[in-house]
Amino acid sequence: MAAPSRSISLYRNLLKELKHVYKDKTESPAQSFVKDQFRNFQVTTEKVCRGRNEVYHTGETYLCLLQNLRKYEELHAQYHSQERSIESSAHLVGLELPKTYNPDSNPSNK
Amino acid sequence: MAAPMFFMVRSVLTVSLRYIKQSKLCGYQYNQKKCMSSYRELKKFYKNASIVTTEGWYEINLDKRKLRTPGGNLFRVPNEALALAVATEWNSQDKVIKRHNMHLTSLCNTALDNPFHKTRDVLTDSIIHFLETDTMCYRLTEPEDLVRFQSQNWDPVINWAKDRYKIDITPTYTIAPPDVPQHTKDTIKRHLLSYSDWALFGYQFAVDSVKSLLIIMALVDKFISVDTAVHLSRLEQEYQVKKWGSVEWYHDIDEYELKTRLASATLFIHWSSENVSVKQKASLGIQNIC
Repeated sequence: MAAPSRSISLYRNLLKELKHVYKDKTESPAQSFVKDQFRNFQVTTEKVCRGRNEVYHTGETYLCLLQNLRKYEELHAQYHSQERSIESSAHLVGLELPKTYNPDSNPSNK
Repeated sequence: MAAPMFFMVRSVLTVSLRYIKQSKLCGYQYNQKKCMSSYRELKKFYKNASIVTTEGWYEINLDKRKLRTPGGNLFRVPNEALALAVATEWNSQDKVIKRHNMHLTSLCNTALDNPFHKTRDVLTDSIIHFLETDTMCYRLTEPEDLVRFQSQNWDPVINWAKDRYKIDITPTYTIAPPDVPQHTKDTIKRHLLSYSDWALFGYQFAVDSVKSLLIIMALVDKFISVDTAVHLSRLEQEYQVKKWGSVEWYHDIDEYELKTRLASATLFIHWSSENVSVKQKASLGIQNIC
């Protein structure tokens, strides 16, 4: 059975994630659905309800989905949005490009 | 001199008429098939995705247009939560539609179209196939702390599966596959056949992503969370990361992507299997959902 504090933080985080998607628009159906679900499955602390853990698990899974999707998009945009030059790719793994041969800089040539 | 001129004018007229007809036709087809399986980059062509319900099914409306599957069928799902999650997926697209991340939509499309005409037997067999090559059954013998790490993390889940389903499965420490008795396969097959057609598509997607049947069984039965499931499936990588450090643009991206896939698959299985009904307790006015 999930403790009330965990349920509250799950509820808050879910609404936060949905806010990322729906930004400033008026409350979307998805947000009201989440609120309804939590209201319906509210159980007093004396009662142990199998259904509650299941709903908690579903809510946790959906939160996991939204959070990881956002993190994936952020990282993907950061690293894979444009083609890197060879030099910056080398810097990514901590290497420097080797110095290549430049015939113009050879002082012995007249 | 007039004849070639006349011919030219006529051919110009024909060509332009054909072009107008084609573009009109193309425009109509293009509008209809905008959500279809073309691999071009698709810009976000709608402002809002909402759900509507008819005859117990839920459909998605992108502005005024109804969403369709790549196969041309009308997109409809039997579960409200699933429909809302799909609508949220479409609403969370920014300027370009990134279909490879919309796992719930893809799973629904596969279940609705069934492009390879897979039967329940075919799906179940391909899922059971992963039992013999289950990630958790292949153990190493060295280094010592990795052996212990594997045992600490994987043994509880294997023991849970053995208890819950009364099956026999032992991990192997050599290159030979583990010995899986026939009654284990039969029990698991019977269990899998109890899921609906839609749920089986989700199940196969999940098992394919983690390459382990036992992990998904534990996940779908809510014994472990998605984070734990992904941790178990990437155990050796996590061990190496602890030792050598993590590379953000490889390890983290891999982890997030796998979590997205598994979370989508779990939700899809769960929402395809549940029946929601509300019973009102008349005396106290409390609602019980079962």
